[in-house]
Amino acid sequence: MSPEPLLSPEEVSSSREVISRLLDGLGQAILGQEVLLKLAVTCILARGHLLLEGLPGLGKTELVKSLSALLNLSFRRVQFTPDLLPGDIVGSPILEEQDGGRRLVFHQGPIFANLLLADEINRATPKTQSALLEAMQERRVTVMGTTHPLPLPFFVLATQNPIELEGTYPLPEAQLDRFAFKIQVDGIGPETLQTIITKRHHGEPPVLKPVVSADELDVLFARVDRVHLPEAVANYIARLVSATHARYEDSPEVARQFIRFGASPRAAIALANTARAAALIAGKPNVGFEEVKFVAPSVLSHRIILDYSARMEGWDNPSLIQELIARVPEVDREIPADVRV
Amino acid sequence: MQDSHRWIQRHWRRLQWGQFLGVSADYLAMCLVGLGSAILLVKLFLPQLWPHALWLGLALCLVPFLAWRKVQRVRFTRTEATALLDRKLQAGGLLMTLSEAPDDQWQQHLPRVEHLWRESLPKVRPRRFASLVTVPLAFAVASCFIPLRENTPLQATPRKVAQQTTDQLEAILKTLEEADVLKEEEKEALRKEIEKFAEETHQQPLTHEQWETADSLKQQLQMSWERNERSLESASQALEQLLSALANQGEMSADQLQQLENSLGQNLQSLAQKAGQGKLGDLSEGLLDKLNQLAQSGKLDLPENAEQRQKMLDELKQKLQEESEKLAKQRSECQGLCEGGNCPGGQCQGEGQCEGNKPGQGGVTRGRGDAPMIWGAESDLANTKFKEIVLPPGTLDDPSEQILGLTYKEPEVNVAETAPRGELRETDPSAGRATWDRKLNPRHRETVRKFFNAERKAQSIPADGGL
Repeated sequence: MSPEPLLSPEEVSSSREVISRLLDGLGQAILGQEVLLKLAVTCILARGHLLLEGLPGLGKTELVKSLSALLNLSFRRVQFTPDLLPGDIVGSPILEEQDGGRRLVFHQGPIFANLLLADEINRATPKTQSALLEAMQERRVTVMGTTHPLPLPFFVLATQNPIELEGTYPLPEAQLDRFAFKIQVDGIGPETLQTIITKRHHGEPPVLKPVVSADELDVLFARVDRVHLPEAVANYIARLVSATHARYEDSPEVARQFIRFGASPRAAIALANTARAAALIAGKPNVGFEEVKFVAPSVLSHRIILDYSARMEGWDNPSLIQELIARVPEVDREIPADVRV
Repeated sequence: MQDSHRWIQRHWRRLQWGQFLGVSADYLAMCLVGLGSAILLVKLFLPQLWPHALWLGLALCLVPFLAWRKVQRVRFTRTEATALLDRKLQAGGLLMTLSEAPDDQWQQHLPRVEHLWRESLPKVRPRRFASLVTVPLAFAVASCFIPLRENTPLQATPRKVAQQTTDQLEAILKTLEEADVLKEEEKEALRKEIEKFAEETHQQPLTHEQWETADSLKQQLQMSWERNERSLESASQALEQLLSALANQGEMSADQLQQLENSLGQNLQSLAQKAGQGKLGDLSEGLLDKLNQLAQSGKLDLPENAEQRQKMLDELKQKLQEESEKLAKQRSECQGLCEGGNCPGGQCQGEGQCEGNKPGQGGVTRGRGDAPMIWGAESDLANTKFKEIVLPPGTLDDPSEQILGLTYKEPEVNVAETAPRGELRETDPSAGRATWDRKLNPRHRETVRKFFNAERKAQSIPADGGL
């Protein structure tokens, strides 16, 4: 079987131009968060779901709203609360009179949109949270035995607060695993803050117009799929994900000691897909080790469960993943000492 | 082939070469250490294997082959080599991609300056190889120059000594049989004795009784030689006397001649027995008959005819001379065994080794009884009467006092008439012995006393109390 032809330089260039428009538009709405924006776009291009975690007021919700505006996608927002029910999200059958008779008619919930903002997702009960499981993985919902496909593309962009944990329900592992990225939204510097207070009266963001059409987005998705993943990089991804498992023989000592459960194969898939998207954003027809290292912390940090001793030793998920990235070599073999460069 | 592929191939080969060098260095170092150790062991403990141990050096020829086989098993894959080169070129995975999915357009995005490619190739580092191999190589070479340990003779185990002794006895017996100097009964008796000796010493080490048995057997065998030699010698002497008497017939009476004939007959008994057994076939018929007659009757009957008698006696003389020479020759051939081996006194330390035959060195099993006793090179301490002891200063209580001299005698103290009395008596030497005794350190006084007492005893001078 002949390998799929590489993206041509023109295709890469035109894709990059579209992506630049999107990033520029996001940059107008969210100031001083270039890396965050790049990661968010990477996740969107990889058709992955995004979980944003950060303190209130850092622009998480605004980021999602900006994305929907720029991508010209249908957008729904659901504010998750403890009394929210699954039916409030996926929809429910309503008894209606039609043609002289009564029948149950399915009324679509807010999940039937291209972009679903699940704001403060950890405030809903696990029952409600699990209503998203099928939708996120299979892009469809099943109500009373009837399966309803969701509009494509479908993204869940969720936010959650790391504080005010009283009355919240931490996302179950299965739910977390379905998010391609979990991004920590950090604070911004004084220069950015000064710009915000200078240019944003009353904190209102600029009105954004769509810069990427649906067709262009489809083309981008197709081109992401065509980004070449070299064998050595695939091997690196596999070793990196395997290194999160203590039973893996080449796993670093720090992983053996502090990681109780490692990342799933879904993590490896997400890593490869998001690395492809990152490569296209970087204007490359192929994935390199740099793209994998760029997306790995966002892909892996929420997919590992640490041992209780890790916290005592001062480790948390992101720092441990960074340590693994530093420890796992890009190529499994080093250049022999007799022919050092 | 595109340039990038060519560089990938070169990079791949260079990596394999590096692996080969690394493994070769390890194997070579191990082999050289092993070879050096083996040579060292041989030189110190098995010197007889030197220089055959150098053949072990041929194992070094296997090193490249084994190293190459090892490298083939663990060698870099082309993908790995490409990834390493890609990383070095900072191509961001494009080189890896193009090696898997060639694309002419993207090919142009790879570095086009040959210098960059060349710089990315790993360099061979012979210095590391040399540093790994140098010390083991020096060790192996140095071990070749270590002097061979002196080839000490093999320790003669008791069983081996017994075997050697048995062999020696059997060899002597065989030589005696060949020389035909033993009678049948003597031969049988000696053979039985030797067999018994061999059986007794087969499993157990030699005891002093068995050594005496061996010596006795050797002595018997030596005596057989000597008896036969004496017999031939006396027969020759008797024959000479008879021939001399016959030449001067007028001077001797018939009885004296008969007496000489009888004497000759008695001394020719052993020769006559050999003739009777047909072992002297080259004799004339007349002499053979006479010898047979002698063997049967015990009396030598020489012909009456003077000419015939003279002829027979001349033939007999010649035969005796031949027998004597034959016996001497056989004994000389037997010299190594029949007279105690190559080593004077028979004190060999091993097979053919006589290094121990020097006075005072003795043999392995029995020592040398005939080593001369030599006195000389006596110890320098022969005249030392007592062990030297360094004592602390003993008498100089007053710093102004001086040592006027040292003698081997007891100090003479003359009590002055004007010797001080009272308190001065304690410190003035002229006050007498008590003062002198008081001033001398007790330890010094005891040592001096011991010395003079010992000297007086040696000179048989009765101790009168002295000190």
